[in-house]
Amino acid sequence: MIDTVKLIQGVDRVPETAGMGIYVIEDGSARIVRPPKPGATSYVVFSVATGAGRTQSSQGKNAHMLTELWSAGVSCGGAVISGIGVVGAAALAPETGGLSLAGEVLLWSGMTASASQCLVSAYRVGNAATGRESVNQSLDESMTYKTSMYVLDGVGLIGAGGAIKEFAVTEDVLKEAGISWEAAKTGGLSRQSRLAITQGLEIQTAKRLPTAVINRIVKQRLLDVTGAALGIAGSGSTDGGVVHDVGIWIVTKPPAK
Amino acid sequence: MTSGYGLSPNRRRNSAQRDRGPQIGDSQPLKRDRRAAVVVLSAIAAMLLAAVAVVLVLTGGTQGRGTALYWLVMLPLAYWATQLAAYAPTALRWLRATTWLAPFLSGAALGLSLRFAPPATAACGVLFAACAVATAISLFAFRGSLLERASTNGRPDP
Repeated sequence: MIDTVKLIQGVDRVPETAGMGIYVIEDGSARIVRPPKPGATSYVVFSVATGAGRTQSSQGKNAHMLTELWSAGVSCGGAVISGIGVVGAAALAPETGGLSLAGEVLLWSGMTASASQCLVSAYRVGNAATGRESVNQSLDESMTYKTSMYVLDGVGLIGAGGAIKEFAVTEDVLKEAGISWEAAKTGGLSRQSRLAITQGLEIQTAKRLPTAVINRIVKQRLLDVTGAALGIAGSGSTDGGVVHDVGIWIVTKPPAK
Repeated sequence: MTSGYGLSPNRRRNSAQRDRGPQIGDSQPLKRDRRAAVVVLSAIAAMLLAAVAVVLVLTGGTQGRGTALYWLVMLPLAYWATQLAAYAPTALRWLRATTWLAPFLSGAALGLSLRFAPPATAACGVLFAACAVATAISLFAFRGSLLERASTNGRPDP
């Protein structure tokens, strides 16, 4: 629903439109918000489609569906990679010494947040596919939903931050040791390189890790940063799935209903 | 003499560390300490809740995910939380100050929401209450924890 007070203030703030009548067509229903003030004869017409209207075009519906699908794909992709990352980190714990308790909790929280967002996205896609956009619309307007999504996003971002930090540390260590990511991921490593990497990654469980373990650690870092990138892309691209189309015209008399 | 000068450098360092307790920067003893984990996680939770309250007010209670304001608040938070979870020295030095800051931020957000974002006021109220609880847990767990000893040991002698 359009805030008419703000709309009137906005129109009157522009010298060229101040005093003009205001006519709103919102999701197919039209109304005169204000007739022209004395001395003005024209109307400013605002046509707004919020995505919940009965007269929403098929183009609008497709855009809505694509937005929901994109959001669901990114969330669920991030959740799957995050899940694999958690399992991988647990499997590497004997060699790496594991994470701190706080780090482990954040890792699991990040995965849970991603999984929750995936479930929510799947629910929204289901609503969009079955023509129940109004449910999604009411979710977007619910403060509880918005706050929960912000909190889940924040938890996911903190997890992503950890993955990016680990990636940056690994990048520095590999650069210092003069080894490419490709070589560290799959190739054989000299004793000197393994020592440099083990010390650089501050691994306390061994003086020099075997090549196979270093390969797994490097693959894990790449997987984690991919999951982080997906999570960040999901947060950055989501606007709640609301499609707003606004058209503004200035006419001399209100359009016929 | 029991000064440890006859020990190897590693043993001398370990012996000195035992005498002094954990230091800021020695993250290994902290990593397995449950109380330290409670302190850090509660502090992160408090700051996250405060950040969400701030975002809600800045966006006027509308959907603001993906906007510049959202990133402006969330990215520094994610960076700080990452540093704290890794027990980075700088994050630990500022731990108590940042933990105290969280309820003030969410309180300010609550106050501002009354004037500028009325639809977000109820949510900001809940966030403020949850933030205050998380802050209290963090500060309570901090007392007598390895983190407190580390932060005390990290200060220069008077």
